[in-house]
Amino acid sequence: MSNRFSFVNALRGALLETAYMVSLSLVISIVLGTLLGYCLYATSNRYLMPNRYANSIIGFTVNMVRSMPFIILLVAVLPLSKVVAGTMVGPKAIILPLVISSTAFFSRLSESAFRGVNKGVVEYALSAGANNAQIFFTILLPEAGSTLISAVTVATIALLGSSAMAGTVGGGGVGHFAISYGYERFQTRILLVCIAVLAIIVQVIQFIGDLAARRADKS
Amino acid sequence: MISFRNVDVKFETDKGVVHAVRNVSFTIEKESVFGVIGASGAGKSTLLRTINGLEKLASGEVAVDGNIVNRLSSRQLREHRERIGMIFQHFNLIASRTVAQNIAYPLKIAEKGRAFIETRVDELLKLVDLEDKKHAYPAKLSGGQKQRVGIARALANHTKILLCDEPTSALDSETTRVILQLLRQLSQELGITIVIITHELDVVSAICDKVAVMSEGRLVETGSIYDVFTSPREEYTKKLLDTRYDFSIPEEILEKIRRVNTEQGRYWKIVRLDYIGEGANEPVISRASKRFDTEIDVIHGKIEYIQGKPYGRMYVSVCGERTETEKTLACLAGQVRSIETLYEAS
Repeated sequence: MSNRFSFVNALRGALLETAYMVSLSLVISIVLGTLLGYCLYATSNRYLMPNRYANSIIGFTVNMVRSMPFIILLVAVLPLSKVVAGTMVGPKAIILPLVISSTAFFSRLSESAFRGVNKGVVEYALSAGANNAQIFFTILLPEAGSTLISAVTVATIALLGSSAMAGTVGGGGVGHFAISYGYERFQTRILLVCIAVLAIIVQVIQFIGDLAARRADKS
Repeated sequence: MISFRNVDVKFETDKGVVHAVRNVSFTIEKESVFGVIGASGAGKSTLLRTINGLEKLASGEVAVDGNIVNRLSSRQLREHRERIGMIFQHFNLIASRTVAQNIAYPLKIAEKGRAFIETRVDELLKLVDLEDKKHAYPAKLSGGQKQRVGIARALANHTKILLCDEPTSALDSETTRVILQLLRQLSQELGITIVIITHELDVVSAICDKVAVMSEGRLVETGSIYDVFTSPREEYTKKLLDTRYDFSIPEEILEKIRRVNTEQGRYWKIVRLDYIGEGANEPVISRASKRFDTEIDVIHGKIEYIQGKPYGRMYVSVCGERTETEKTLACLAGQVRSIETLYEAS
């Protein structure tokens, strides 16, 4: 009985760690990724801030990060975490690589969401006297709203996956829990419970994301 | 007044530099409805966008009421744009905003107060007769309704200039008529200058006072609608207009005229007559056929009214003695604007 109790407690702790890692890095990477996505979009639009060089440099950097498998990025960035977060282990240390990876991912997702906005509407807003900031906040964000929400859903699920990988380098969270109990100590039942819990979380995120995206779609 | 002086516009594309507008100069008078016609790719859209500074000039000058658009700072340019409305072929309404919010958009950009915006939006909804659609989203509107929202939105800031980019090309003919009528009415009631670019000649003849014809980035000719439509000076304009009056005499009719007249040993000619102004209402044909011993048959004819003045084109066959026929034609030539021989007895 006490065994089961401690298991539930440990799982709850692991889940809280995962929630902490995923939510914090999600918020940061959505903000940064959206801005980066806007830069990618605006520098290639001849009416906004056309700049071929800036576009190539940002695009190249994003591709560099995206070409690295997360596990490699993780070990490459961890020394930097020591400087930024003061530690190389635990959820805190994992946030930096998660943010870097997720920002690069989300910048491409938001760029394509902005490209999906009717160019004519952007042109209209400019013709009405809107400046670049107004274009971003009053046209691009609301018009791409539904697509952006779907992008957030995809990014959240991807982050959940990445955060679990962090378990292998002592990052904590559900991934760490599943690896150390389920894999290293051969407790298959714990592994199965972890899989079930993750599956339920992903389903719930997807369900909420789809619902929100549908709500936001006015077309 | 809007004036273009030696305007050149170039832009880079993947396929190289496009020279979209070449050395264009003309002026658009205040409170007039001005049309720019030409085939697609003629540079009309680009030229239109130099008025509100969406397109940058490579050289030359565009001035609106004395302000040189291409010399404005980016802040001045945004203020300049607030004073100029624009409507589009595909309406370009903001899909995530309701009709009222779309109309309020330019007012918010211009930082007007909330109470002001509310009353102004209601005024505009009334102006374009869309009060019942106030809270609808654009997706629920018909094409004509969308364009009316576009017009209301474009006029929101009490704009005195309205730029129209193919405003009716996505609408059916009945809706086109209604929208054009609304534009005409607005130009008269509100005293706004309207610039319309279109490839539809009927749009221009229906509401414009003056027209400019463009081809391959150049201004081909400009003048009043009546003059350009009835007496085009340039070959390109003639060709463009010919598509509008296009008529070819059916082969059977031609063969019949040829056969009958050859059998009777008569001389014949088929000519095209263009009438303008008062001439279009005069009985020139019956007069000529009474004076001379010839038969005149009307094969095809059409009279239309441009800016309230008649313009007609008629295809007739004249047959009889050779000298009488020539005399008849000479008499007709004196009374119509132009006469052109299409076929004659060989």
